[in-house]
Amino acid sequence: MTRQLYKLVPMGLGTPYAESLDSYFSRLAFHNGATPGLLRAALGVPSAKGGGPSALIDALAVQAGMDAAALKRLTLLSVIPAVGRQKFHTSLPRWCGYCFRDDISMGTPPYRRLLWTFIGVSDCPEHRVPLTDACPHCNSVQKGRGFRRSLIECLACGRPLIATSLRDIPYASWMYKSKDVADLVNDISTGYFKSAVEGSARTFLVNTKEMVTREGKSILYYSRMSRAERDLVESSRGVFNFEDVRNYAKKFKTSIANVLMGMPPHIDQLPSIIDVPKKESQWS
Amino acid sequence: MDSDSHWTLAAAKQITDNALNHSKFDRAKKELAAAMWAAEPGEVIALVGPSRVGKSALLDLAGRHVREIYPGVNNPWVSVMAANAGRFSKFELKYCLDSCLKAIKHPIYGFSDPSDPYGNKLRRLIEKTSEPTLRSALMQAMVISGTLYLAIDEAHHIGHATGGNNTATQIFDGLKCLAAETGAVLILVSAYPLLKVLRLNAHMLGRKVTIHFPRYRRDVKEDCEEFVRILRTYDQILAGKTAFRSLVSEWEYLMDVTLGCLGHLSKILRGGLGYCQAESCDLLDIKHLKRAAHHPNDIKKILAEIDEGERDVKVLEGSASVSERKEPSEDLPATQKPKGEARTAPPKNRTFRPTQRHRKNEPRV
Repeated sequence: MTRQLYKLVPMGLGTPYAESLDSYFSRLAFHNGATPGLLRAALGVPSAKGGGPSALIDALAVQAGMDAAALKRLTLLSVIPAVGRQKFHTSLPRWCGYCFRDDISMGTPPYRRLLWTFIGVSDCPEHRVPLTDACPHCNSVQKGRGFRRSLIECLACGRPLIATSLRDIPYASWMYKSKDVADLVNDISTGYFKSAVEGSARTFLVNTKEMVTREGKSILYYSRMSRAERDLVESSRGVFNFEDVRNYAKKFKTSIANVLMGMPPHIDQLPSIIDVPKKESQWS
Repeated sequence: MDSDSHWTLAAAKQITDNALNHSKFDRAKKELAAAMWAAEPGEVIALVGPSRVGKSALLDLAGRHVREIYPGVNNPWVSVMAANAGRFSKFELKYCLDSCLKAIKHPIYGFSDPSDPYGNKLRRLIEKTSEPTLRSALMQAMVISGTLYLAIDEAHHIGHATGGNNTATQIFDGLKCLAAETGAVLILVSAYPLLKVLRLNAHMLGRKVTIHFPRYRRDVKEDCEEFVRILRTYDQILAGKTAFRSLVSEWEYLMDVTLGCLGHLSKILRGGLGYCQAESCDLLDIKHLKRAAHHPNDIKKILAEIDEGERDVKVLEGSASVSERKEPSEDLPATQKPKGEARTAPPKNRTFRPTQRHRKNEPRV
């Protein structure tokens, strides 16, 4: 017998602004007239530390009959196997007060984006303002995953965490530094990127090299690799962290999702990094 | 159990299952349907009548009907009983909200976990959770599941809350607000004491529609005829199994002991059948029915409450006089009579007799 929780649709699914699981779970708990802690206890997931997102998803799927695959698209679980145990997401919640303000003005429930959980993402892609982790009123850091009655209430003073002032948004999307991560979140939330396996970044490099070699060409990047980096690629023991993956995606002008899936880019997309006159590189 | 006793069981079951359509029930049903149709969110329908007249049966029928006409809505009808489940059997709103959450099948506060068959976890959870939290959970649940009617049976129990009528008034106000905020109509079903509590709240009176479900009265000819018709239906169930001629032949006695309430009639018949079975009698005798009937003193008490309630209803309906009792001020119920009136106007035939106090004040000669 499953617990028929009152259904709630995750926000921003299929866009780069997809909701994070923590945010969704909190909203789900409030929607069902409980606090997140109470709902966790009711589902038998002991605590935020004891049960990670996978335990929570399992509990929601088994006990409340929710779609586990859809819930997984609100997390970074699919990225974790490829990048080992290096931490690339924050434990403290961060947010953009202007996004909250927009949510309220548009009449949609304010929610926390999955994109904001990446350490590498420091600015809001939409409003070009730094993400914050402190209340604009009392300046207290929002520690822990506990929430008050709403996601946008300060845990200390209870006032809303929305931006206190209006701000003109400069139109300069090309300046945004974390567009690649936003694309990754988009790929996760649309379901394009389902899961990565361990060492998939290495597979990407090897596959790309093989493809370029088959075409009778070589890659400048490989010829200029450092010894340590080459060892990492050649050996099967080394672990790539998220920043490595991001760098490879940038250098090979492909998406992070493709790197994580080990899919080499099409050769026509790599004109700038291909050595047109074939040279005997050290690596080959 | 011997084979003869089977007919009594079958007859008792038939009496229990037999949903009678009688004139008072039909009239109350029509009035309730009209009131429910016309009511707006936040309004209160008070269905009052003597105990065991069939109010709860009518409520069940209304619930079934509402569920039928709103098939796509999860919980258009939520019905609970206002049980005295608090400490020292007092009424507590928290437990009433708990009942509502269970009735609405709330996923957290009303979910019966198969791994917790005795509901201990849920009980602990409810005890830990504050009343406002339960209230907001119920409000959300009512909005989500599209509740249109919140029915509270035995609503006069709310008068047993700690703090008496003042608290009860507050509770009724709170329930009315809850209904208004969730877009539901509040239906209160109760015996007559409810009217006294509701009368204390002028704000509530403006939003209340009272539906009276009366009993069959001995002094009304049509009521007696209808009562006899009902007895005829029961006679068909007990055909050839009575030591006396028929129930119809005993209609006066039965009308007196049941006070014209069909719930009492059903209880007496079932009780009589029970005694008949216990004594291994082949036929149901009038003595069995007499044993199953209420004690005359109990009947007097019940009748007193019914009388008072009927007077209250007459006041509400704006009737000028009450036929049965002649009171000095008929337009006010007994509870609202000014206390000083009796002292200022003593009976005319009373003669002055000097008491010891008066004698003390007399000048001594």
